[in-house]
Amino acid sequence: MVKYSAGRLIQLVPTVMLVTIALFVALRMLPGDPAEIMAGQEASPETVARLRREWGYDRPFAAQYLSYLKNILQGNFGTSTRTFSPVAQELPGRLWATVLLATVSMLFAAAVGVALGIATALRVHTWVDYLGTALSLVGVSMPIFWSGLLLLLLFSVILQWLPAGGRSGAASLVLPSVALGAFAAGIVARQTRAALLEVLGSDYVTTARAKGLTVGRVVLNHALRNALLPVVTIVGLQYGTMLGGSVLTENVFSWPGMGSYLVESLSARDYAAVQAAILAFAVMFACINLLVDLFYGALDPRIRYE
Amino acid sequence: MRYRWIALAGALMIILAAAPTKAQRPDARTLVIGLNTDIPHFDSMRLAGLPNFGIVNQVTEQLVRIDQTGKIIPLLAESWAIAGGGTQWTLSLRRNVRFHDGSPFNAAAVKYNIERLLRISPVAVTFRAIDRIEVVDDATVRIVTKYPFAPMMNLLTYAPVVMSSPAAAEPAGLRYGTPQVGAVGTGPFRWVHHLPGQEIRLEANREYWGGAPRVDALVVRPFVEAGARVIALESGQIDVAFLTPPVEARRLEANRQFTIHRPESERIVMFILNNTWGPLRDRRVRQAIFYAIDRETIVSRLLAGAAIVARSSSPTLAFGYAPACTYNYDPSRAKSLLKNAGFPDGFTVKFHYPTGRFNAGDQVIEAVQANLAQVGIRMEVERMEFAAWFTMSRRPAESNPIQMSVASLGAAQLDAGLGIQSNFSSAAWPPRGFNGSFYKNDEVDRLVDEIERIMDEKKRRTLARLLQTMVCADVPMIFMYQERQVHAAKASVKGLEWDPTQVLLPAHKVTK
Repeated sequence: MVKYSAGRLIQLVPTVMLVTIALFVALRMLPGDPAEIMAGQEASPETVARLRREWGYDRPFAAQYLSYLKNILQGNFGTSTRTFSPVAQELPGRLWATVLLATVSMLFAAAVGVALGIATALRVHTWVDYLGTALSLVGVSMPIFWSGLLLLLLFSVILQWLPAGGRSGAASLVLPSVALGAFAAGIVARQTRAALLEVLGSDYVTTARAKGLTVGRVVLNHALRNALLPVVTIVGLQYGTMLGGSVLTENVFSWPGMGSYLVESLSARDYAAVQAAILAFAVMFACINLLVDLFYGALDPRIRYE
Repeated sequence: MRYRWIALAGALMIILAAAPTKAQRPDARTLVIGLNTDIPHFDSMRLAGLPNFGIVNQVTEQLVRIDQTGKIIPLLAESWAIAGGGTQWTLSLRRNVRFHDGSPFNAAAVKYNIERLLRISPVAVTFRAIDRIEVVDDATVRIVTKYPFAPMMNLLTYAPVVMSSPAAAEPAGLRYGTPQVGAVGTGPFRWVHHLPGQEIRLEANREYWGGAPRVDALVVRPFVEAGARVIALESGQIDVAFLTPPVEARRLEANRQFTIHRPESERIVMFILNNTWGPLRDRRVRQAIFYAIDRETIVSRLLAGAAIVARSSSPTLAFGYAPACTYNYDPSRAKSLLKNAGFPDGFTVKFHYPTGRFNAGDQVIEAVQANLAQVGIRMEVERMEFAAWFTMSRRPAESNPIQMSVASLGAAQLDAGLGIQSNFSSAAWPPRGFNGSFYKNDEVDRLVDEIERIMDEKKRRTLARLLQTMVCADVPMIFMYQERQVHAAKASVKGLEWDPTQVLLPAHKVTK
C-alpha cells in the first residue's frame, strides 16, 4: 500500500504541472491587469508601466512562467500585489482556516447524514422516513447565503448563543460548519438510506438475523459495512467540493479562509496569490482522492492496492 | 477498531479549533469596528478605498485634514504661510510630537515622507506641481512648487499624505505597512497586530498630542457581507458597522439601542456618456438623457434617502460649489430634444455595468433603463466584474468600447480645480486620467488650467462657478446623485465623526 501511495503521489507531479500551466495562461488571458489595479484610478500610464516593469509583468509569458516555476521549487510563491506580503506567509493561515472549516463540516455532515440515513432506512415508509427525507431535502436545497443568515439571526441576534461570524475560537466554528455541512449531510443521508435498503434485503443479512443477532448488530456490523462504500465516495467528493467551494460560507460568516482570500486576490488580479491558492487546492484535491481510494481498502478487504 | 485513528483525528481537530484565539464579546474599553473590507496593509501611501484610510490614519496622521464641513483643519502642521506668488508653502509643525517608536516628528520627517510619496505612491502624479521640499528648521518645512499652485493645502488633506516614522519606514522599504511589519506614526492609536481577514488590533497611544484616547484599544474586523455586518452589530459583537445599507439603517433606526450616522459625502455617482460615440456626440442627446431620468424618485425610493439629487458637477461641499445642473425630470422635453437631434425614435445604447460597487446599483440601473425606454432609448446592460471593466475603461478613445457606464466621482480634496482637472479636462482622457466620457471643450480646458494657478480666492471662486455652468450645459456625463454615508453604531458609542470622503476622523475622543 505504501508503494501504491508513493506511486500515486509521483503521478501527482505532472498533474500539478499541467494545472500551473493552464492557470498561468488563463489568469493572464483574463481581462484586467494587476498593475492597473495597483496604480488605481488616478495613476498615469507611466506609473502603470513602471509597476508592470517592477513586478515583471512586462516580460514574455514563457519567461514569467519559468521564473515562477523556479521560485516555487525554492518555496517562494511570490509577493502579493494587493497586500505586498509574501504569499508563502499569507497562505498557510488561510489554508488552515479552510481545512478546519471543511473538516468539521464534513464530520458533521457524515455523522448527521449516516445517522439520518440509518434511521430512515430502518423505518422506511413511516413518519420517521418522511421527516428524515424532508430534512435532507431542506439541507440540500437551502442556499447558504440564505440559510446562513437565518442561522445567524436565530443563534446570534435572538438567542445570542454564538458569535455572528469571524474566527474566534470553537464557538465561531459551529454555525459555518452547520451551514456548509447541511448540503453534504442531505446527500449522505439519501445515499446511506438507498444503499442500506438494498443491503438489508440481501441474503446474508437475513442469515445474520436468523442466527439470532440483534437488529443493531446486524445493521452496524454487517449491513452498514457494505452500504458505506458508495457513501465514502460521496463524502470524499463532497469534502473536496467543500474545500474549494466554501466561498459563500466564508463570505456570510466572515471566515478568514481560502475562499475569501481567493475572491479578494482575483478581483485585484493578484497573480501570485491566485496561483498559489489554486495550486494548494489542486494538491489537496488530489490528496483527498488518494485518501478515499485507500479508505475503500480499509472498508472492503477485497480491494487491495499493489 | 481500525477507525480509531479517524475518531482521534476528529477529536484533535475539534480541540485545535477550541483553542481560544480571541475573546468573543468586546469589553467596555475596546471599541470594535466592523468594516466592509479586509484592509490589505497599513501603508496609506499605497492604499486604495477611502473608508480604509479612516482606520489606517488612526496610526499614521496627516499634516492637515478636512472636517465634516470640508474646512481645512490643522493636524501635524499647525499653521501655514504662502510666499513667492503661490510657489512657496511654509508649514509650521506641531512641536514635541513623537512617533510611536519614540523618534521625534520634525521637518526632516516631513521631507522624508513627502519624498517617499512622490517616489512610491500611485497617486504621485496628483502631486506633480511639487518641485522640492526644504527643511527650514526643526519645526518648519517649505514645499516649493514648479508653478503657482493654489490648491496646495487642499492637496495635503488627501488621505495618502501621512507621516510615518522614517526609522521604521526606511529599513522596511516596500514591506512597510504589511501585516508582518506594521506601521509607525504619531496618531492616537498604535499598530499592534494584523491577522489578515480576521482582526486588526490598535492600542491607545497614551502620549497622543491631542489627548490620550478614551478607549484602550480599537479592534477592526472585516465583515464583507453587508447583512452579516448588521447582524454582528445587532448581536453585540461589534460596536460600529461601517457602510450600512440604507434600507437596513432605516430598520435599525427604530431600535433605540442603535444610532445611525449619516455624514455628508462628496461622492457623486455619475453615468459616463462616451462623447465620441454615435448619438452621444450630440449635446442635445446627452441633455435629453438627463431630462429623461427621474432622479428624485430613484433617490427617495431606491436609496431610502441616503443620497441627494446632484445639482452640479462638483459636490456640495467643494470650493466654489454652484448648483448649475438644472435638469429636472421632464420626459416630454427629452423627447423633443431627441427629435431635434434627429433621433425621433430613439436609439440603442450599450451600458457596461461594473457590479457590486454602488448602493442599490442593480435597482438604480433598472430604473434608469425603464426611464430611458419611455423616451425611446433602448439601454442594453452588460454586467461586468470590476477589474475587467477597469481595464476596458482605461483604453484610449479610438479603442474604448464603452458607450455608457457608471462610475463615481470624488473630489477627495474638495477643491473645484482638483476635482474638475481630473475629470473634465481633455488632458485627462484615458489612459491619462479619469475623463472617461472623452469630453473636450477648449474653453473648459483653459479654465481648468487657470483655476489651478490663480491665487486670488475670489477670482478662483468665480472661475469655478463658471466652469460648473459650462460643464452642466455640455452634459459630458449624467451627475446622478451625491451619496450620503450611512454608518450604524450602538447608541452608547459617542464621538464618532467621518469627514466627507468617508474617512473616520481621529478617534481619541470616542467613548463607549
